[in-house]
Amino acid sequence: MNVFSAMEIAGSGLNAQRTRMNTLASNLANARTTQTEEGGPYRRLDPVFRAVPVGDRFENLDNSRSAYLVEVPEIRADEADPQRMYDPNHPDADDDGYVALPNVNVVEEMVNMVTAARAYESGVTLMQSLKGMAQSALSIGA
Amino acid sequence: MRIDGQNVQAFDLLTRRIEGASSIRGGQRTNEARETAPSEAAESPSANFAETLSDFVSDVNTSQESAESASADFADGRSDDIHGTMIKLQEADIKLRLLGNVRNRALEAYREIMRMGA
Repeated sequence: MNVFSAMEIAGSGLNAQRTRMNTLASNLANARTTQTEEGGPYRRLDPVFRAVPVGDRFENLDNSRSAYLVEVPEIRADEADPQRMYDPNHPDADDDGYVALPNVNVVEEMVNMVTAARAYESGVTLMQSLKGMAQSALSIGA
Repeated sequence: MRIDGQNVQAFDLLTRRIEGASSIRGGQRTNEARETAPSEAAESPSANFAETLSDFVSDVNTSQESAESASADFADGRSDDIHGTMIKLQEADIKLRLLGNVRNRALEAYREIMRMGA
């Protein structure tokens, strides 16, 4: 465990938030998409985060539980039912005049976007403090 | 006494750093060995220090090179890892600063020794 493994951990957090931002962009862009390759409306995507022990190359395995990286093992589709809206003129409307729209709530996605951006910021702030710590350590005795 | 203390300080700083970075000597040196570092440092031949120093320099050089290639990749569009590049750059920067500080300490100790006769 050294100062650079903390950097690595913060970096994995940044990666995770960036992945989340990608899925959020996809969700927002497809908020009204009624056609997909699998058929049916677009389904909301959600990244799954998993904690993995830091693979510290320089230390005993006993201490490997002292910190965890975050990784995104998969991006899962939200299984919630599509929203149904009455719009008989829509090209994808069914016989009753209802259109199946994606299960994306734009307001919710905007909130998630703000939390992802803030989480990214907190990772960057952590790295800045880490660098500040290293620099103040170097100034010991100077 | 002060000279000796500084010398040991620089030496200890270096060996700890090297042990952390390359683990080459990790198996041989235990904590007890580190406790007795003052006498060991006084006895150890200068080649050992030079070797340690050059190991450290090459480690710093490696991280400089990897930071450079990461930023070149980013500039060329081969990579889009903004924060990964920045992390590598910061890592290289911190390591270089540490090397600079170690060099200053070692030189200071050397000058102090040279002043002994005067």
